[in-house]
Amino acid sequence: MSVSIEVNGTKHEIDGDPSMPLLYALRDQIGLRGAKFGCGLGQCGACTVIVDGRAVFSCLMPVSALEGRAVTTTEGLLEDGKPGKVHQAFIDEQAAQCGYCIAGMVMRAQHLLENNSDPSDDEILSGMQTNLCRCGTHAAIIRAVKRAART
Amino acid sequence: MTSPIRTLTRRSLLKGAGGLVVAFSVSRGFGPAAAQAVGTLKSVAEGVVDSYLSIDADGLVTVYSGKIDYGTGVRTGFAQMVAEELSVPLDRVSVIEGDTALTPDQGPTYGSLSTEVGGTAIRQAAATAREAMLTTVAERFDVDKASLTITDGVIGGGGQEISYGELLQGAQFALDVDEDAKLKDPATFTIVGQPIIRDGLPGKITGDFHYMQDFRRDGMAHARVVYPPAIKATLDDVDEASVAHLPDVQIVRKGDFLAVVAEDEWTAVRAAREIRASWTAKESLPDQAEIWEHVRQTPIVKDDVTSDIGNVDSAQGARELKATYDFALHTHGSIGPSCSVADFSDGKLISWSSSQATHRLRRQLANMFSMPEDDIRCIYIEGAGCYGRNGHEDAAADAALISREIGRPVRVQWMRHDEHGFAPHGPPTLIDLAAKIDDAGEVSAWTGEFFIPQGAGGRVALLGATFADLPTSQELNPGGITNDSAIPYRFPNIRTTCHRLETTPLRPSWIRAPGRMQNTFANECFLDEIAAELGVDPLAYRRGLIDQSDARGLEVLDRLAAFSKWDARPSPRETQGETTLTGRGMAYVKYELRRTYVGMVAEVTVDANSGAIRVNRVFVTQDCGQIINPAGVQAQLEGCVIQTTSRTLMEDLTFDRKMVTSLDWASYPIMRFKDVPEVHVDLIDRQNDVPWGVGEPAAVVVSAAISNAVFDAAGIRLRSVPFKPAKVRAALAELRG
Amino acid sequence: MTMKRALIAVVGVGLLVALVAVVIAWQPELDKVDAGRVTDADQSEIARGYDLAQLGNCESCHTAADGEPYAGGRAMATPFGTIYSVNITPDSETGIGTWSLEAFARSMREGVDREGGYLYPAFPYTHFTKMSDADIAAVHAYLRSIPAVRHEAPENDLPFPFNIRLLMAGWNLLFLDEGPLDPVDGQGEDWNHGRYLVESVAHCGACHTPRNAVGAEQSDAALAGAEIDGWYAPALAGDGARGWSAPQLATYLTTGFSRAHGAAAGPMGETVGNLSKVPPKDIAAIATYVASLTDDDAGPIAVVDNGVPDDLAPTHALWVGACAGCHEPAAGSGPGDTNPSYGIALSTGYAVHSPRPLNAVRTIVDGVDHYRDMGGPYMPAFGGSLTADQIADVTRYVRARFSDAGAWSDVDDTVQTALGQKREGDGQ
Ligand code: FES
Ligand code: FES
Repeated sequence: MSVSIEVNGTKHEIDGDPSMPLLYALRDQIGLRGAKFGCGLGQCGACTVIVDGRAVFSCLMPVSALEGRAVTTTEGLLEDGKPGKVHQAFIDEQAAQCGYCIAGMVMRAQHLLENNSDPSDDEILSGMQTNLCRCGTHAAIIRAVKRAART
Repeated sequence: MTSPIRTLTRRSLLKGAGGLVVAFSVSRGFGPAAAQAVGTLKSVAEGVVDSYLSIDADGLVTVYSGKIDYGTGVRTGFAQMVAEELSVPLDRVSVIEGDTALTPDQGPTYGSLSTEVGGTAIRQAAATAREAMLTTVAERFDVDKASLTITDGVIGGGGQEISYGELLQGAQFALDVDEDAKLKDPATFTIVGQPIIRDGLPGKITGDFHYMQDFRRDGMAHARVVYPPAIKATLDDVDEASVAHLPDVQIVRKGDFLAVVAEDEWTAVRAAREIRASWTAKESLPDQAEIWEHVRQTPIVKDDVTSDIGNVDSAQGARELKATYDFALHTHGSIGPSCSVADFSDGKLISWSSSQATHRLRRQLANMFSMPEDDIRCIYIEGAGCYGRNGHEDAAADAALISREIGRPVRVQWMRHDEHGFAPHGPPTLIDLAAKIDDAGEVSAWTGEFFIPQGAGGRVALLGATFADLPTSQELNPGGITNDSAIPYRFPNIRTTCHRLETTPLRPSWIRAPGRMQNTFANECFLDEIAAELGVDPLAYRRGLIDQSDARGLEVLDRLAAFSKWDARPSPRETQGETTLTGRGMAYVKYELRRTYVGMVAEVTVDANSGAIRVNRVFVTQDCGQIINPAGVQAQLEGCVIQTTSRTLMEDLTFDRKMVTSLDWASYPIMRFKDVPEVHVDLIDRQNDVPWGVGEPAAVVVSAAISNAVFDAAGIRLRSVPFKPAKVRAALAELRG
Repeated sequence: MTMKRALIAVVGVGLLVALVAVVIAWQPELDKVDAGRVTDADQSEIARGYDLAQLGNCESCHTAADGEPYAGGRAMATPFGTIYSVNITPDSETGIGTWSLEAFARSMREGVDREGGYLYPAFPYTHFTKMSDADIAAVHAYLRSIPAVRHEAPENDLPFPFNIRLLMAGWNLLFLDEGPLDPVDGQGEDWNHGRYLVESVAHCGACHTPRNAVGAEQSDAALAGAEIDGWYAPALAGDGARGWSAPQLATYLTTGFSRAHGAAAGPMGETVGNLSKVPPKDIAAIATYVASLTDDDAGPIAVVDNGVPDDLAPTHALWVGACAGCHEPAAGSGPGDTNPSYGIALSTGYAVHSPRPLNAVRTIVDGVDHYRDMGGPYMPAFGGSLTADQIADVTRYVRARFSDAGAWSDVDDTVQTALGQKREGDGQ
């Protein structure tokens, strides 16, 4: 079966097993590396992307559920090939160590700011709570989200 | 599919807080990954300049490092050191890490030694190269060597100039590293000491960065391993029909090793999930409820006496304090499970992985497959942070085995439960401490006994080899885990002994600051217990006990007191029956008694009813000698504090008689945003000194600083990591009587 | 709507009765005591008060979403309108800082506040009335020890006639059976202690007992199961109650999980979060008592797997991609046997057997996210990622595949309701 999905503004036909989660379609068929496999269980957020305005775990999002829906990944936040606003805030704060969690963090932050352009400190913590980081980059990530909210 | 070599262009110039910040790229992406050749392709011998450094005809500098970067920033640090020493712009330096065909064996990347040992060797090679080039040019230009200048890799003097590239024309240096080669004067540094944006960081944010998990090889298949429902088990039967509904699934079975292979990744995931196999599982593990009795009863193979001063037995003391500390089993918890690609063909093996120790891995794979090391090439590609030896080497062995069996390149990606369940883990550690206090209120004797497994710092047996019944060499290297069992305090009689245990539950491995973390936790808590017993301020007490000629140690403590606005008084604090209790505690380490100094203050709130601890603020003062990249150091310190706070407050690996039961983040929770403490960092920069490591030292004081702060707040001693609410509640109930 | 009219009629009659009773219903205002927080009380009494407050879920009801603990303002939807919990911190202006023990005890026993006003039984004083004097005093001591928070809870949003508090005098005449509770002779201490906790402070019946038209628990159907906040609290006694062994239940009540029964989700998840902080002997007592209400030989529920339902074959792809990773791991491979996140046979859970799809739908929509910091069962929320139709399909799929009961009829409406009640930004 074939499913038509819009990813970062471009239509893609995804062939094969309709149960395949979006994560594998992104990584293995579309060639986008931003979303990461971390757990496949909806527990860590490394695979976070935005689908129709909501942050979702792409590891648990079968492509068959996505016909006609629009997906945004961290690559989709680039502006003319340059870092977008949230990207730049993360770069300025050097908010990555190993960075494996970071593309998911960026998408979580993007979703947070899309819904609340002026979040309080508490709202930032709650908004980011879903995603795990093992390197302890949280402090820098929080600074980055605050910076992104300011710019 | 392989990626093109990343171009080495300066991408952007950014103004950052600490001065000029340059975003650049020093890694060649998958450059070496595309290589086909096996064996040793250039000099990799230690002590030879060409092993560490090459400069091509265009003047591009390549650094070859046996130490690798897994998010710590050492790659960037090496590039900064070499660029500085050679006076070339940073964007002309690239770094190849951990490729057995290209890089010297500088030992595994552990122990916070990368910069101090690895970086210093590379810097010395660069200085040797520079001096040699200057000597050559002085002769050629017929000028005094001292009159030559170097600007952006161009040597000038006597009205002439020549670039490194023109001079060398691609030739090798063919020089031994000169240990006395003159190093550049730190006063003239323009690159070292700058908060350069770490290599790869922008790409990690935008999705452009290539991780190990992103690596693909032409003709590659996707595999998943199917590990048994027990640490020790035998595979009885595999129901091949159970995956017949999935396209082109191949089953690999060798001894008790089972894996599935498919053309695409999702099919492999499904096959591993849906295959039916029957196993005979063995109950090989002790009862976790009795873990500390088990540790205490484990046979001791030998004692390592790590300090022995005076005679603790004959020392006089009117009072004796005794306490037992324990530190739970922990898992590395890499956010990205281990992954490896292997290509085993024509009796030769190329293995790509995120191993911290590719040379050591090559020896292990050679042993596993009974083949010459020269027929194996192990190549490092950066993966998710691993903080120690997690499952990378095992995934590499799995991939190599499967590739050999099916005769094509294969990618193995461990699943979350493989990583949590089957990666090796930090061993349980038990520590008994005792002190005698004489009539004058002085400690007359300090005794420490540390129950630590043997071999936890050595080579960990490869899981796939074990299940497939292939040879696997373990190296019972004592490692560094006995470090920091000895103390930096001057008592007249001291004896610290590490009882090396024959076995430990689960495969042991090192996790960030192995041994040092557990040992420092106990020592720094117990010192606090003594200070409380004597009714003295814990910071001042430590200051009086360290070697008074150790100016750097004294400065760290003094600066910490000022920086944290230390409230000097004995602990515990006076309380009036509040239920929300606040307190502050501190801890200090001189890492391994010879390098990085860290002082830390933690401020905590304890909910006297629920037993929940919140770490509000942490102050760190650190002297790590020369700071190569302050932004990198800051990130490491924040990481040390946040990760170790998580380990201290909540992490506890669980197992039943058969295997690990905490197989995911729901059963092994780690700290998340709402509970993250504020981290305040005070760095002492000594540009004229040796650069010491920063990835571990600040981690080792966290548990003790928190425990001591809880004592200050609530009057209870937490001697068992993690400090879960139930333990706190029990201690409070005991205190109430 | 008809239901609501009937209720209004019933309550209209009650109103008349209540008016007659006004004279006897009048309650005096009790004197204010020294204002504010008291921290020098007996520490052991405060500690016991804390335990009881956990057993009573006090904080859960008296804390608004993202609000300060115990400062009130949590909205509780009832068939009669929305009631907001009050501030029970020791703040003198907006909390209970001026309440003497006498005033506090009166509220717990009689449902009357310090000023003499009647409380609504959303505050379960019909249970708390059964507490011992000592336990009421302990809870009072505890609540006086916590930080005072100035916070005015919103006014209740109740239409006439429910906004007439005095009505409750009549209601109390009919339904309030003032305590404390006496032990039952011939039963063990553990059992009696468990019964005492269940009936009084833990107020299990507030969720698990069906209510009559005027919102009172039906005494002839105690713990027989009831709908609550869009979930169904299963029967703990009588027909339909599943067999529990006491140890199983004790584990479930403190970890939120039992391999034979599944995970505690929704409001029960929140309850387990509180019970996990309670001394084991209280939990063991509750487990002993509740287990005694069910049929011991009920045994574990048989694992059912009817295979992929023919008419839901396309939904199978959703199941495989979104659900099977946890719910259908390889038989005999590692995670399946040992970890609550993996391999729980869905057929053992109450949700798929329930006569109504409430719990199945709510679990899919909201996930299970109560144990993230203590460790325990977890399920991500799918309300934000799957569409209503997809959630409905998955609901029908699990019912058909993992239970032998007939198809649910009201799945689509239940999904719509659940999505409507879902908190924005949840889970995923
Ligand atoms: S990989 Fe999707 S949540 Fe972890
Ligand atoms: S930066 Fe490594 S996991 Fe977050």
